[in-house]
Amino acid sequence: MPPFYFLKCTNMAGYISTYCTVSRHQIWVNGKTVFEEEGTEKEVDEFLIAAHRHFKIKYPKFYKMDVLSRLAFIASEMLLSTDTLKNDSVNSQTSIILCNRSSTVVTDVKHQKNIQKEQGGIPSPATFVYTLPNIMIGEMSIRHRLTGESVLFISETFPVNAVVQYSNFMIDQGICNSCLCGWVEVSLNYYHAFLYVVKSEEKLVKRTIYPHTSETIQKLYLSNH
Amino acid sequence: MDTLITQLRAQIIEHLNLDDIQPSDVGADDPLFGDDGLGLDSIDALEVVVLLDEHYGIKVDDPNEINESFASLRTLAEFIKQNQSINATAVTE
Repeated sequence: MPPFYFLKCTNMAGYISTYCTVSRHQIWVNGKTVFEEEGTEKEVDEFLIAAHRHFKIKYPKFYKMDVLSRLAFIASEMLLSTDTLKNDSVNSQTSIILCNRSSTVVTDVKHQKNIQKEQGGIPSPATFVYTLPNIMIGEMSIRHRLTGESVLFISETFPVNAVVQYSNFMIDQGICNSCLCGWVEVSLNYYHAFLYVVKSEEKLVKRTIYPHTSETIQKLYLSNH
Repeated sequence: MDTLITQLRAQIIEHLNLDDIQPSDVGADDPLFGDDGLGLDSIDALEVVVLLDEHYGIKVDDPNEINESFASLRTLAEFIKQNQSINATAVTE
């Protein structure tokens, strides 16, 4: 991970206005369950499609995405498209900082199977295009018209300190006025998404907000893990 | 021709993961690409090229062929008829 410890913020950078966790066939927004599927027999793809239909999200391109992008899409949809955020919505000056451990391993395996088919494998363009983890950032950006800075880090564990420092630095320096941050991980038998929005100033709205610190993020990240 | 169009319709829906599309939603002359049609994009066009190779033995070498021939299911079926190779597995009338 890059040494972000040298970044010094002159001001208290931000407040977390909302956060979402998707894990174990459940979706939590600000600590409350908003959707769940009983039992774990379903594959994660089936669960995400069920969530897409449950929330009546009309976005056909969802069905073309791979499982990592679908997970990121559903998690970000919980934060960026709810009615309660319409007047407090993330705008084009939003940056995105995402991390995961396994990159696109599930799609990589699928791509490998395609090109190794017995009679001369033909790579599938629709599969190959998702063998880059940044694509999930692209999908969210297209959906919500986000045109700010974006980055994705591969890390063994969620680098909370680095993400907090980096996002606070960007907000403090005026590079953006809000940041969508988090961890979106899918491996062959595990998935977990934790996303949150941090903003540059406290909004006078009637909902809980949290100071954007490493301690707070760590606590929220582990709360439904 | 109608049989081939029906077959193409099912293959495109399955191959392009159009899970929210029913066969009855795609008319033979409906545009496949762009906002006014099925909404397929450039990646989908590449997938159709792969589909033609895998199922009909047709290799698309000229990108200019894509614009006209891929416009609808009917133009795609006509393209297949014109270019079908001996070893293709397409259904014939």
